[in-house]
Amino acid sequence: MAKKQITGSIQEVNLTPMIDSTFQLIIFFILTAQMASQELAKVSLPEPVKSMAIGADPDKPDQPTNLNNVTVNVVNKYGDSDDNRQMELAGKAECYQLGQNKIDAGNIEALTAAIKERKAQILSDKNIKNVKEGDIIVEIRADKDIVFQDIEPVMRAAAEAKINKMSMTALVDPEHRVKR
Amino acid sequence: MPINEIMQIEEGSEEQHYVAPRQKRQMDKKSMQPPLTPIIDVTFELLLYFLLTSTFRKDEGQIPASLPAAGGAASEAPPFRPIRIIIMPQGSLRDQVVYTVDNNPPTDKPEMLYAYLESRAKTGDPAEIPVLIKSDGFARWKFVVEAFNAAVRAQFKKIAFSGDGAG
Repeated sequence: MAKKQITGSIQEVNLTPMIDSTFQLIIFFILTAQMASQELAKVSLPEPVKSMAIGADPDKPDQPTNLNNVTVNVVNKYGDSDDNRQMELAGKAECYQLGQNKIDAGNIEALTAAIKERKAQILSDKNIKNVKEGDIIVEIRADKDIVFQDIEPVMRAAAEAKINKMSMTALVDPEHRVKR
Repeated sequence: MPINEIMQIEEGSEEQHYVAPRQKRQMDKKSMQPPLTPIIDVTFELLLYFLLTSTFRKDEGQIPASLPAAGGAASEAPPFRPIRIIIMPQGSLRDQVVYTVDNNPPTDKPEMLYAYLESRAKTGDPAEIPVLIKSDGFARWKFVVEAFNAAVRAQFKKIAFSGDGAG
């Protein structure tokens, strides 16, 4: 009789720990996603006609393609938003960003020093194999509306840091995708 | 008795009727399923959150280029006469542009710029002929990238920017 009472009792699954852990996961993913995206500054990239930009390998989208690159982001006040841009303000570079290091636009000495430092880091990085000084590329990742005179200092700083290869970041044309 | 009173008695009544043990056990068995409502609630919350906050990242890539060496590599005489692309902004907001390729008539169309460059590429080895892009300091970056992209499309390999801002 007593046995029958036990089997007949309500057995509810306690969902509180599951919900707790779900929220923990959400917080973890939000924080890590933010940290990862801080390296790539928000810019509205140029979209040239029949773009020759070489994107990541579609078969291996997660494979890093720019280990040799010193990426210099040139950012204006609008970030990646294309809405309500005042062209005069959009033309001005607000800062240069290397990794998470932000340098005021116009501070060419600091920019040159930062490029040299990043170059030295790449050359001494044991995870990047067989990289020589001539293999290092300065990648200019600039907003499409910034005027050339605010971007030219990046080229001069790169030349001063003895980097003579350059690439420009642009949007990939999905219909004329250039193969790696 | 007024209808309101009847309703109150029926709704608020905690009167327990006798339920036979066998019937009670059957009732208990029916509620053995775990409550799925909270899971579905949380799932919908998550779905809404990601739908509202996610912005699809556009596919970006790099167009490779070369830089003139510091200290005036321009003093070295190039073996080929370089093709000069001059970029001049137009309009009060400088949101338009005119490209000039050597002596060709100026154009604002990237396809025309490409056509000029392609016709020049056919006159020799595009891998050897240098292309020099001279941009006005106030030209917007998208136009500079457009000119550069057209040169890469026309198979030129030696593409450089002039040291001076204005052409």
